[in-house]
Amino acid sequence: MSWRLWLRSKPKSINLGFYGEVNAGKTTLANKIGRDWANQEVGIVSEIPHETRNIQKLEKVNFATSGTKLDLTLIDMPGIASSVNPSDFIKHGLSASEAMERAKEATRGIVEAIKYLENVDVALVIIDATRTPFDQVNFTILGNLEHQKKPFILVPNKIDLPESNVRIVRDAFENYTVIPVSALQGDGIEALYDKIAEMAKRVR
Amino acid sequence: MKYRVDFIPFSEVHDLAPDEKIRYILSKVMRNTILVLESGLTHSEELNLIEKTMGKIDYDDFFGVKLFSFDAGNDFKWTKLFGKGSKNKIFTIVAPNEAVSVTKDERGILSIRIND
Repeated sequence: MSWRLWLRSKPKSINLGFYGEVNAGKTTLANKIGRDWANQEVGIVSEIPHETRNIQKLEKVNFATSGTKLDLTLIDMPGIASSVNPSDFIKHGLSASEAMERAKEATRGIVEAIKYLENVDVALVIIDATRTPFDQVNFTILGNLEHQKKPFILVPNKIDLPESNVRIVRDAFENYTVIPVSALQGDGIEALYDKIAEMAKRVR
Repeated sequence: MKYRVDFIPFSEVHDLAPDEKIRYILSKVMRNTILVLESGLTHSEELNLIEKTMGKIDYDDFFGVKLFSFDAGNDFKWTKLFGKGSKNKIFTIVAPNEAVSVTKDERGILSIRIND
């Protein structure tokens, strides 16, 4: 096989970043994709905010859909927030010292996630569809991805819950590609895979 | 806690370098001032503000900021607030996190509740 043919048959390597606010379901979605394509999970899921405080990666995820083969690296980012208060963790049952430690790690994680943005090829911006989507963090992340010309998909998550409202997300972000999912139940996941394959084609 | 609201005209910050602008904002917000910036932040300035804010959180008095950029639309006249003309139609509110609750509803109404 010539090197040209070999290059063409080699799956494209894509850094797939999971961005979004805290507790939007980024790790749940990363785990779903990891299980589907690599039989592995990326990280631990928790109801306590800022469970993911370091960037977590799952490499060599062999993804194939819509005739597209990709070598994905799933990069689960700490949730981005403009404030961190230890008392929020105490409300979830952590001791004062645990809460303080978590808060310090969370602030470092937010900075890490922001700095890593330039290394991402395709981004999934996950929004909790049960909350109103007007948190400035969502607009800030999307605006920066647009500015850096990174392909991205807006993913309203938790659509299996009765209080979810996809319409309000679509209305708020009408100019963007929106693929609603339930990362927990798998609803909408095939449509998301097709769109990831499509977005990956835009990456040089 | 008493909070002050400062309306910052374009002329106050437009000569500042990007990092100086962020330092200016944070220094005021950390002194319990709620800022309404006529010269709204770009999305990359917002991200820079979030990043720099993380370095200032002391987990005691300062827990971060709330920010909200609002596209006022073409009909909005800044002259009503600042007394002079401005072509800028996006303004940004930055406040100490504990100072305000900011919400925007489906109709585009921006509500700012200042906490005690």
